[in-house]
Amino acid sequence: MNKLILGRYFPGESWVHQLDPRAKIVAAVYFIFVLFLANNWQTYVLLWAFTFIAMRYSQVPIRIYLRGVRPLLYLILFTVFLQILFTAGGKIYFEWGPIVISEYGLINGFYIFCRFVMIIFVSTVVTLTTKPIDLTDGINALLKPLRKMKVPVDEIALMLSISLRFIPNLLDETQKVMDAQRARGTEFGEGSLLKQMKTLVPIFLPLFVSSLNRAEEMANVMEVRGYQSGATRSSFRQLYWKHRDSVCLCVMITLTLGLLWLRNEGLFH
Amino acid sequence: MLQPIIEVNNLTFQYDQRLEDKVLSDVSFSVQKGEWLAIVGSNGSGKSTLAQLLVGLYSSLLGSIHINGIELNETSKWEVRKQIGIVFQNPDNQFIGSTVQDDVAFGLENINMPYEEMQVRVEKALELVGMTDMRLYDPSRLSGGQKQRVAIAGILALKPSVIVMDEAFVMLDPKSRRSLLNTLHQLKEKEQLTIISITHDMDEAATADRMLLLEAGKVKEIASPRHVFQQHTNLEPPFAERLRRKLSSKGASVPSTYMTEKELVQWLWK
Amino acid sequence: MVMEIKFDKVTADYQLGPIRSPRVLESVDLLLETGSFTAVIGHTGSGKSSLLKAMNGLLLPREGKITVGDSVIESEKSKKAFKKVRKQVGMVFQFPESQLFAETIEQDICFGPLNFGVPLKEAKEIALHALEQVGLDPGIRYKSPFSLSGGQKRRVAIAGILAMRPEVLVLDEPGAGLDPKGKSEIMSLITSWHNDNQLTTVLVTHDMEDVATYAEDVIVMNKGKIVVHDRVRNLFANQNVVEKWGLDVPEARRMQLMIERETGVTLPSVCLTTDELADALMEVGLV
Repeated sequence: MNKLILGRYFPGESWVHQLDPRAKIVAAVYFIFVLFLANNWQTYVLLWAFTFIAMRYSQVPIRIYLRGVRPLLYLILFTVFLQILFTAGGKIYFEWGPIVISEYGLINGFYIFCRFVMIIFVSTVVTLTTKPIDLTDGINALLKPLRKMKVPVDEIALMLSISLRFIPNLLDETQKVMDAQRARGTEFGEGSLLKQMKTLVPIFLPLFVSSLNRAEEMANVMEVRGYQSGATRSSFRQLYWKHRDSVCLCVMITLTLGLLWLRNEGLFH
Repeated sequence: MLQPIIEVNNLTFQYDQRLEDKVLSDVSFSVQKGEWLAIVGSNGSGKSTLAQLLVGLYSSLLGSIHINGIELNETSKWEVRKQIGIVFQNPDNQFIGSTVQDDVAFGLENINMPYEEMQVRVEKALELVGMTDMRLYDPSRLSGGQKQRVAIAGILALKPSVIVMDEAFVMLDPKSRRSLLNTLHQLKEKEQLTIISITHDMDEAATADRMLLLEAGKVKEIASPRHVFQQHTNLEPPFAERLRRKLSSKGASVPSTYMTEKELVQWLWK
Repeated sequence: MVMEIKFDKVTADYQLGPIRSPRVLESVDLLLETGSFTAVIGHTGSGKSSLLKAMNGLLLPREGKITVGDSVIESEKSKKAFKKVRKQVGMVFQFPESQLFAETIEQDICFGPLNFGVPLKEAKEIALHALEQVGLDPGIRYKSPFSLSGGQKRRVAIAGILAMRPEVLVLDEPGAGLDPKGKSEIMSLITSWHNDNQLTTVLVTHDMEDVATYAEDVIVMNKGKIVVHDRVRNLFANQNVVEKWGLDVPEARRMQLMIERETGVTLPSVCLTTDELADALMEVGLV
């Protein structure tokens, strides 16, 4: 659990930290789309340059980003492997029955690898530098137009923010119940799988019961504090679009122009 | 006479219509503006149900509740809730916002208050409960007593007339309990608040203006603490009175009526 | 049976992912004698709960060792020792009713004994007995624990610990959240269990009345250290120490100090209960 980097917040006050969450989300999503413009080594160099600059400006140590890639490494290698095997063209380096490793296969495999890693790096930049609650605000703000289509955007955002708020409580409670049951002689992580599954019941049942009670109590609290689902609510959490946020979007446009230009200078054309 | 801020008339309530036993039967009382009313009674006497009825979480079978002149019903309850707020027992389950100030603002957001006004209200409310310095804290950094302060600030921000404390001190340690009670007493004076406190703590109840004793869903007595402790000897009174009774049972010549701490010390001194 | 608890320079902390918490126990030396009843007091976060957990092997010492009876808990030790210690040390956590999980009350109470290898038939007998011990009607044993009232749930949870037949009973605020009547019932139940079975009992509490009424010895904790370990009466007699650690005093003692200050009369002894204060007042002729 401690290894998962995606979704963690790394406190700091870097240039990237101070960007508006909307700007960061838009930039990251946009980046994933412009990735598909890349088709030669020059474009990939440009994208890597952008990625590294974003990572540097976040002032988060590189090793933390590398840790973020680790859990997904096998998935990436598997995809790269398929890509190498099923792309034909160019010089052939190895052939054994239907299995062919060609020049284009290797190049494509490498490009796919780059795309994956860059997507992970850039989205980790966003999650590491934005508090979960600010992310929620950002998503909420960006999805506002969907309200016209009767999508309950505010309700979803509130639900998300309350869930985030209660994660520490839930972890605390889990620890308490585990301690209590260990004191009654349960041992975790021992014996057969079936035996281990059985030891989970005395943990999850009490947690389930207390979560239900909590949910009921919270619903009461929200009601008496005047919360009505569907009613128009103002928001105390305000997002401010600053100069740097516009700069961020300009950088994205420049990146696109650069890609479009380099694309036509490419290896294959 | 002034119109009471809360008027409860012939309130009767049961959770299950098919069952005979009523949680509350024929409860009537009124509370004046600026008064502190302590509601006491053993577990199962209907105290908490009464609190939840007052804020419109249930609706009663019979009888009526008026708050500040408005009759509480399904349509008026949203309006009434701007007048009356409630603090519950568990400090954790009342914290909706992700930081102290966000939580205080929750009730204001619900009535769609403009941002600029919210800022002023939140600021003021945090100041009243002494939590200004911790406005950006998330709840995991707060003690139980501080969370209850935030809950109170969330109510104060709405500028209500009444705060109901539903055993809100139970989960606090004695020190935070005392300091929170102090704050509430000050707020009551300063902001002309009416406070209804549901409690097991007889020391706390003894500091109220009046006590309401509930027994099996009925109002057994509503009077000054002095009178209630005098009349109902099965209630465990505050320490000074316990000492007076103990002295009396040992044959000492003490006055035969209820005594507060101050009175007892003065009597000993003379 | 000798059931001493001994701490030798115990230091402990929690490991939370890559972050190490500040020391929750710092070089703690402690000896609790067989049959003693000790209250542990101190501010929130002073290390009271950690002290309890260390007695049960739920928190391992980084340095030093803990001896419970004839078992030793050290930082690197086989799990066998924990199992033995956990059987000997019954631990009632704060709000223990939140650990109830089984379908019936009987099953829940049997959970501990069965984990420690007691045969089912015997465990059921123990459960029946434990229910009576906590003042509940054994007839309810096939009901769901979730159908009970708050106070009854608490009793069932305590019965689940007593059913393990511990020789040391460790309790973290067993009366928290109950009404005064429910609380004093739980406390007198624990006291009589302590007396009848010659248990070594440790009680964490914020309530000085509990300390004065039930405990013989008292431990004051501050920042992970034991700063006072004395007889209850000695602690409350020493106003300097009480003030130094910011402690409350029992109501009777508070009243005694107030009376002494107002009247200028000094009472002959330190009064911890209503009874003692009444006697003292009559002795000096103030009434």
